[in-house]
Amino acid sequence: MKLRITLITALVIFSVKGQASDLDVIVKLSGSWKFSIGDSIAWAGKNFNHDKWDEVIVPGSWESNGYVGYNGYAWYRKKFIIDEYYEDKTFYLDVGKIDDVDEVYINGHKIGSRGIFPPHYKTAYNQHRIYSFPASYLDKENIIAVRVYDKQMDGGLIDNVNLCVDYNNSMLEVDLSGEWKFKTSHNKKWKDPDYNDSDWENIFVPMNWESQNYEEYDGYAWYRKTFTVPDNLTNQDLMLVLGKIDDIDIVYLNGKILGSVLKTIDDQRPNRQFINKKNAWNVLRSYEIPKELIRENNTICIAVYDTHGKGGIYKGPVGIMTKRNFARSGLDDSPFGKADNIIEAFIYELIY
Amino acid sequence: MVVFRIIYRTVIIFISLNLITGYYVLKSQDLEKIIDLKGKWRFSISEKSDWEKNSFDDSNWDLVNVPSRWENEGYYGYNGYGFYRKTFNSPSSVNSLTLELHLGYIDDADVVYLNGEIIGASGSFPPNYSTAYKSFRRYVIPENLLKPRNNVLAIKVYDFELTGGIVGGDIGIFKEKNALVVIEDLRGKWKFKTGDNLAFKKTDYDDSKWDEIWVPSFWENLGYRNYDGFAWYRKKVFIPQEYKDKTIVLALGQIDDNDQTFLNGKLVGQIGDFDGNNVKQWSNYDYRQVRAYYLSPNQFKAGQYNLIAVRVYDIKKGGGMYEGVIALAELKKFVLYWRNKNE
Repeated sequence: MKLRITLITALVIFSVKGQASDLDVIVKLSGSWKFSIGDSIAWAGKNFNHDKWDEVIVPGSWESNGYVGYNGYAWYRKKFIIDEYYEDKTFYLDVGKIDDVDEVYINGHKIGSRGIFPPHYKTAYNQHRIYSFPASYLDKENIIAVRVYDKQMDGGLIDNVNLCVDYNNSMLEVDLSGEWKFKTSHNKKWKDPDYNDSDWENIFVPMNWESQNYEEYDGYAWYRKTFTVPDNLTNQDLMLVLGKIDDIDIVYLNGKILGSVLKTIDDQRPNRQFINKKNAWNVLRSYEIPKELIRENNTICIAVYDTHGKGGIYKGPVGIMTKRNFARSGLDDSPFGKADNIIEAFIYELIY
Repeated sequence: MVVFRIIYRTVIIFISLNLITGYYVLKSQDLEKIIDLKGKWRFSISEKSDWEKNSFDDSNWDLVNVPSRWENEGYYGYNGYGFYRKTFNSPSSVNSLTLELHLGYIDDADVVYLNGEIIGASGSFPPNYSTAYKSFRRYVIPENLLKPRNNVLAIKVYDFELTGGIVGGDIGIFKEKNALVVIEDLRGKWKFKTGDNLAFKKTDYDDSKWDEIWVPSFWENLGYRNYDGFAWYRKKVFIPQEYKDKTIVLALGQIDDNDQTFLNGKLVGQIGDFDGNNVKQWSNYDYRQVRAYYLSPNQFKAGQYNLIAVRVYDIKKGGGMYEGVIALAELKKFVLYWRNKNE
């Protein structure tokens, strides 16, 4: 019994520590960056010569770097070298919070944006940015270019910047981390693969939504993403792995229910019963994908209900694995709990 | 220097406000005292219209200690006007700089003349008396007003009750260390008009009949008692040809509360949203935001005069261009100045 309590304690501590995201840093990019006020799309490119630009320290607002009172557009650029070989197919640029609006380029490829530039300006100063991009964008010598717009007060790159990979991704056949469509509240129509989600916000998965401009949001939210499955996988037994979700999820693939933590909890194994039913947030989600459900273009829709505290798909891996690799991965070795009334009410509302 | 007399005529009534000042004020370690003005000053009770002039002979006036309440200098129980005068020399190396005069705390209201020109005021004299005894007096001395020899500082003080005079603080003239290297210092006289008319932004608008006002200061301290609402500041500034390819910064310090700033008729920056006569604040701290409008070469005319027009909206209490770095400077110099400060 003592061992079990220790395990519970350890799980709680781990979950608090690993709240934002669990990426593995491969290049630290804080320090001196090239900087210019103004705005030109030419500054996104890899071959633009920025030697004459000023240098500023990141992290730090541009005001703290001497540009007091400056509001408007400015660009940051930094060169970095990758001299190790990485097998990873997906890389992540963790740029932290940016005040107010940004657009990030790797070697001229746009990899992400948060907030809205004028004339329909909308700040995202409180949003932690992680942008994923394919390995094909990287060379040995690379340029990051960040376009920033600040409306008032402090502006710029105010957090550490890191280039990351996720070691967990090596077990994935299809990596589904990165940009997803996201909307708070709830509507049963949103499980429809043909529903038009183009006006939804972009959100990074896996990372809790509190870090992405949905501070203290509890309740319903939906995630949507469209992906393709390579031909060589269509005949295999596949699993959809969604990492950890805070708290409750119901997952639809191409409009059909694929699973829910509730089902998982109902399937609990006798020796896992010590885990409290409220621990759904700590259950690793893995759902078998029936072969007949898979199409050329697939849409995953996930309804999430967060009871309190942080919410959302907050920890990876997120993607598709063969059943065989999943069994070998050890990911299955996660504690289960039992549904409680909140959960039952939730699933009732969603399905009926 | 006619300007200061014009201000004097304007400044019939001084009023004091309990305003929050002190944000972005220079730290004491940023200032170097170059002339110490503590010690014996000439003093007389009462006031007369020619006592601020350099030519006035104060040799038979009493000598009193500054700072010290006049009750301790032999004027026990005296309330009313008192006049202080001090003659001093100034090292010629600093006279071309913009300097700061510190007079500490004055009980209750004052107007300050240097070489016959008014350089600042706090509180207000009767019949609309108000005290400013809690305010530390910092007044800007414009460049080239000081002379190597025989400068005269003349201070008219009004005390309503209890203690009176220049009562405490470090009195002297200070120079800012690592001061901003400017193209043009924009403190000093500006054209000023209350009210609102977008034609005021135009370069060819004739402002010759406008008042002149001292910047930086709340307009309440300079005769516009209790005025809230729109007002405009205008100033012409020459930008030398050498800056034709440079980015320059138009720094206007802090403005209470909101502003739209025009250069040669074109909007170059603002704090707050202006929609007709409606002004929407961005936050409750707009009055503390540093105005620094960064101008690319196509936004100004090098080798010519450029017209700065600042449309200000004050919601309540103190209004106008009241504090901070107010200058035109090259981008690199401006950034360097703040980097040194941040270190």
